[in-house]
Amino acid sequence: MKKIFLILSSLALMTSCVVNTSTNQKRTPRNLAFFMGQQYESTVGVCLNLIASGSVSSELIIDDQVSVTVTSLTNSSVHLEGKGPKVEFSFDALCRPGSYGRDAFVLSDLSFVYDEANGHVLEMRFSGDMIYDWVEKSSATFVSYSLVPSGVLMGDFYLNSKQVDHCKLVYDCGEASFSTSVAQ
Amino acid sequence: MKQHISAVLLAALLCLSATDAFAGERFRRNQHSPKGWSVSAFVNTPSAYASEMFATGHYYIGCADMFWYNLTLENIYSDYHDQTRSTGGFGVGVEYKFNHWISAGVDFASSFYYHNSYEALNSNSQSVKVGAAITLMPKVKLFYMDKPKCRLYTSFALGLAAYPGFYLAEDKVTASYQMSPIGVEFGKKFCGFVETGFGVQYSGLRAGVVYKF
Repeated sequence: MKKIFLILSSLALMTSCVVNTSTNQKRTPRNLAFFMGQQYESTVGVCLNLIASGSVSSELIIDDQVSVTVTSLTNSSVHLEGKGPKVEFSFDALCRPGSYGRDAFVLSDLSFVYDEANGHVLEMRFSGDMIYDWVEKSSATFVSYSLVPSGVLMGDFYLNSKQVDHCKLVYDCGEASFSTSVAQ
Repeated sequence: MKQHISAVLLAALLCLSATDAFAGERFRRNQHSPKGWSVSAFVNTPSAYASEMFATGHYYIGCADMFWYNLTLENIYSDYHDQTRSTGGFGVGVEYKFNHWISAGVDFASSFYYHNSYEALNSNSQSVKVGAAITLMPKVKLFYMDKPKCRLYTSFALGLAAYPGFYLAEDKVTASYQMSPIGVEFGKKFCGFVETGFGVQYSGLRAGVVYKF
């Protein structure tokens, strides 16, 4: 009897090895790309949608905390500068005829700095131009149009002024793909 | 409403009939004393609930990861841990058996969990994080069978748990439970037991020794 319980007790202890295989590693290619895309969309993307919708004034407030100054360069181009608690960005937007008789936009000269004030900084820039044009999405009952980006967004991640990672986010008619310095 | 009450009463009746509560004939046959105190010591497999809590910081298994809503560079570049291991658990208990079919007692048990922590940038090993799930649970045990040398039972415990070393639950004392649908006890005065169950104390198997006095 004692032997049986000794064996069972040993068995109980032996089965107690790995109990959870999950890891909470967050420095992954997906997270870097997601973070970059999130910052870009919530600032530059929002500004551009406001411009495209025609609700442009010389001063915009986005995300409650980021104030954006819009300066006209020519009849068809504007320069935008945004500043918030963590972000500072500027870019030029040129309006030109796009698909479906609507206006398309060409974004250039992006300068974007996201600073958490704890040594962590993200800088972003365009590689070439970022072009926003309209695509049609139709279903059985209705047709809708969306303004989607095509172009390459480059991001550099810094820790205490030292570059630690970089990420390349490629938009193709709104579909994003990415490559980073972090191995999959 | 009446149907629900009837169903509950019927279920309770079926549960009781499965125990020795109504088996008066068997009481007379059994010559061993049904009453008395006992103490126990046991080891058990780890708890799936506690190991999930230790690994992820979530209180509930399968809880959606809230990380996406709070993504910052600081937490992207924070240290991370690898897979969680456990040494299992052990504990002691004291119990009073009132008659052939019911006993009540309290279990004090602890189980231990650990994982290695690494730096986000270079994966250098940082430290080993250790957490313990410590529980104090009053329990009730119902006997399906109560023979002098062999007892078959089910038990349910409800109590408190503390989680020193755990991520989100470190400073908290929470309610906890443990269910053991089936357990078996062999021996007379000094005996052993094995039971299966799930809850905060363990998931799987618990085995130990009991001394009756």
